[in-house]
Parts: sequence; C-alpha cells; structure tokens
Amino acid sequence: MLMQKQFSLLAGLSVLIASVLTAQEAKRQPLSLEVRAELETVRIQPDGRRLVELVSAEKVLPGETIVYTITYTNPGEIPAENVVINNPVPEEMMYLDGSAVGEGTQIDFSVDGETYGKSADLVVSLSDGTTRPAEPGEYRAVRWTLVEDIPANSSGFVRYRAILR
Amino acid sequence: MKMHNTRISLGLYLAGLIGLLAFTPAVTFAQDTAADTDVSNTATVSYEFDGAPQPDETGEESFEVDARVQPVVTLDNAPEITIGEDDTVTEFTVTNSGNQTQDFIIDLVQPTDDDFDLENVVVYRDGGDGVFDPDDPLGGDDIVIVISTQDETQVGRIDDIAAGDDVTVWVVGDVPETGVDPDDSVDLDLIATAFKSDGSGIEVATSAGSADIDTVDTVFADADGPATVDDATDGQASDDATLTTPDDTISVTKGAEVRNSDGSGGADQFYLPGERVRYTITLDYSGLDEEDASNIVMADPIPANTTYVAGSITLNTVAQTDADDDPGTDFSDFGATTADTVTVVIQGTRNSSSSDDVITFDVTID
Repeated sequence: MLMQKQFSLLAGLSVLIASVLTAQEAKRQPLSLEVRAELETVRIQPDGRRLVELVSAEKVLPGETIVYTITYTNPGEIPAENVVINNPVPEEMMYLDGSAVGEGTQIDFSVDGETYGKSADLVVSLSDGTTRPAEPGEYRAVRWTLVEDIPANSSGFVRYRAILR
Repeated sequence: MKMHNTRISLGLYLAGLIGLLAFTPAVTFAQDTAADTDVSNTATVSYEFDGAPQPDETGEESFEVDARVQPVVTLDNAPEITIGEDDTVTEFTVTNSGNQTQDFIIDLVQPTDDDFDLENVVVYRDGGDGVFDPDDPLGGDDIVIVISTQDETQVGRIDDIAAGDDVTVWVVGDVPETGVDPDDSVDLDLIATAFKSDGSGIEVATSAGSADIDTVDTVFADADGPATVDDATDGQASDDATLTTPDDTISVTKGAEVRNSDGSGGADQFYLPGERVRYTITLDYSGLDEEDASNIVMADPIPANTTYVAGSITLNTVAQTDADDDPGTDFSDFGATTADTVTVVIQGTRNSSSSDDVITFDVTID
C-alpha cells in the first residue's frame, strides 16, 4: 500500500513538473522582428506647407527616400534582456545622415559591418594608409542597443531613412 | 509598445524628419539603381531570457525598384543661318535619364506658327564619333533617321540606349531662297518618345501602380517640353530650336558743327544763339546682309529752338531744294512732307556694298 501511495505521489509530482515546464515555455516565446519599407513622399499643400507622408513602397525610383521601420515584439511573459538590433543597410541604399531613431536605444554605425561606433568616431581607410571621417552615406550597418529590457507582451520600433541609389 | 511610448517615438521621429528636410542635399548618383532590382533588407535581433542567450531572430522586407522612363532632349547648337543657305546643321542630344535600357523614336516637327520651314530636312543620329561632317554626312557610322510615322518600325530609331547614355542627333535642312525675309524665324521641335527596348510600346503607369511592392511599375518622369504634343510624364521629351535670319540694318549717324553765317567753315566753334550749325547725317548700308533696300526715306525733325536755313539741304554734296518737287528735280524737302522736318528720299536700291549716302542741312540757334 505504502509503495503504491508513493508511486502515485511520484506520478502526481511528475505531472506537476510537466505542467510547470509548459507554463515556463509559454512565458518565453522568441522575439519577432518585422521590417517595413515605406516611401517618404512630400506633398505641397495648397497653402504652401509641405506634408510628409509615408506610403507603401509600391513605386520606388532611384533618388527616392525609403523609411525603414523595424518593429520588435516580445510576445512572451518574461522580459527580453540585452536586446541588440542590427540592420545592414542594403547596398542599393544610402543611409541618410541623422535619420536613425530608436527610443531608449544607443545607436551605433559601421562602415565595414564588423566594427561599430558613434558617427563621429567612424573613419574610412584610404589607399595611402591614412584615414578620413566616414560620410553617413558610407554607413553599411546600423545597430540599436536597447538600454532597457523589452517588457513582457510589448513591442517597440526603431527607424531610419535611406535613399535609393 | 504602450501607447505612451508610441507617441513619444513618433514625435521624436517627426522632429528629426523636420530638421532633416531643411538640409537634405539634392542627391545624384553616378549610376541609378536599375529597374527590377530587388532591394532586400534583413534586420537581426539578439537577446537573452534570464541571462541565457537566445537564437537570433530576423525580419526581412524587400521591394522591387521600379522603372523610371525619362527621355531628355536638349538643344546643343542652333546655327546662324542666312536666306538661301543649304545644309544648316542643328544639334540636339537625346539622353536616357531613366534606369533601364530604352529605345527612342525620333520625330521632327516644324510648327506652323513661325515664318517659314526648312526644306529637304534630314535627321541624322551619331554613329559614335560625335562629329557631323556635312561633306560626308554618313561618315563615322552616322545613321539617317527616317521621319515618317512615329512608330516602333521607324528606320534609324535610336535602339537600346542604356540608362544614363545619350546620342547626338543632327537636323540638317535648307533655308529657302524665296518667301524668307530678314529677321524671319523657323522653329524645329525634336521629340523623342520612349519605347521598350524590345520595340513594343510602353504602357503608361497608372498613378496607383501595382499595390504589390514586388512588382516593377513603369513611371514616366519626363518633363513638359516645348513641342505641342509633349506633356509632362507622357514618355516623350522635346526641345526646340529657333533659327533666325539676320535682320538687315541701315545704320544712321549724325554729327553737328558750327559754321560761319554764310555756311562756310568757320573758326568759331561755340554753340551760341545766332550761330549756324550744320548737321551731317550718314546712311551706312553695310548691314544689308540679306536683301537690297529700296524706298529709303530719311526724316529728321529740326531741333527745338533752332530755325532751318532755307535751301541748305544737300545729298552727297548736291544741293537740294526745299520744295516737294520730287521726282524729277531733287529728292528732298523741308516742311512739305512733314512739318518742321527735313525729308530726303534715296532713289533706287542700296545693298551691303553700296556707298554711304551723306545728307547735310543747316539750322541757326534761336
């Protein structure tokens, strides 16, 4: 009898452990990342004011400005830590100076896709061995390091503008 | 994200945007991204749960670069022309400013609201050396463009011009001998219409285009041109040349000197009341480039506060009468044709090689 009791207790415990694990799995779901490309259009209003609109990138021609919006979502129930979002600028695109934004993020850039730094610190190596400050149009990647965790069940976005070459 | 945060972020973005608009430079690139290019953007996020690194997640978005159809026609050189001149050469450049290879059909229109039309017009396109030789118009692989109907079967059409490339086009024609006057103009409108490089006509993209960002739309980006048929965003471009024949001129110079009271040359050179002043008017015909001049009439009202000296008119040193006894005796009068005015009629015709006609008359200062 005793044996039996112990057995059923064990069985009951294992069921409990399983259900706890399942709950833990439900709490931590992978982050999702959505990239959206929108065309920035400027319409001159009848009163002369400029109205800037973002429209779907259905028609994009060289020289036009695309706004990339990267939306991150933490669908789980525990906060995501040490979040870093990295976006290589497409080679057809030219990053627009000062356009990267992201609330609660530290923004760094890279001219080689490997080393990152502040705009002012980036340099381009020249053939004669010297360096010169990098132009924003030469940034090949943008990196946002989130200062805070992404809380459970929340999302946010980062954004930058680039011109189609 | 919480609503609160969203508002802050959007505000932040808009503030940045407005700041940027002020100094966003005009951007030009050596080479436009070609139509149909797939621009793909992949972002990666790395993160941890409870201090444990998780696999990176990615997000990806891509769009197709659309086709910009943008012919540009530029007048490079409008020649000086003269009446009756053969083989005048007007130079245009047709440029493919779009981002895909394009064919261009060329049309030449001579509008009807000018003074005359060029005759025997032939349109050539450069074969590669950029030089037009009137003695060897088809040298250097230059090609005649047959301007008949504007369709894709046009002979000599400009085929397969890569994005950013251009072709020189020459319009050669004769200025008619008759029916053209000095200072007459002829207008030439050169029109380039973009066609697909496979020769089929281009459909105008609707303003909506395709709702699919992965579809290549065709967008006409050409400007409105001077040719009547050429509107903005119609896949056509044009420029016009105005060739004008020189304006024939007769130059008139006038001088004055103080004379003795009998009209002879005197030492006294002060313009004082009572003094006799001789005006000398010279008609110079060297500007008659195009045509002979006839019925030349010189009329000169005498200045205020002067009195005409009767019988003082001379034409080429021959004394003239003051009476309107032309023709027959002389060709001049004072006050008969027009009150208080010396009128001299030059008989016959004058051309650029004619000698000057010199007229004098005298007045006294009141």
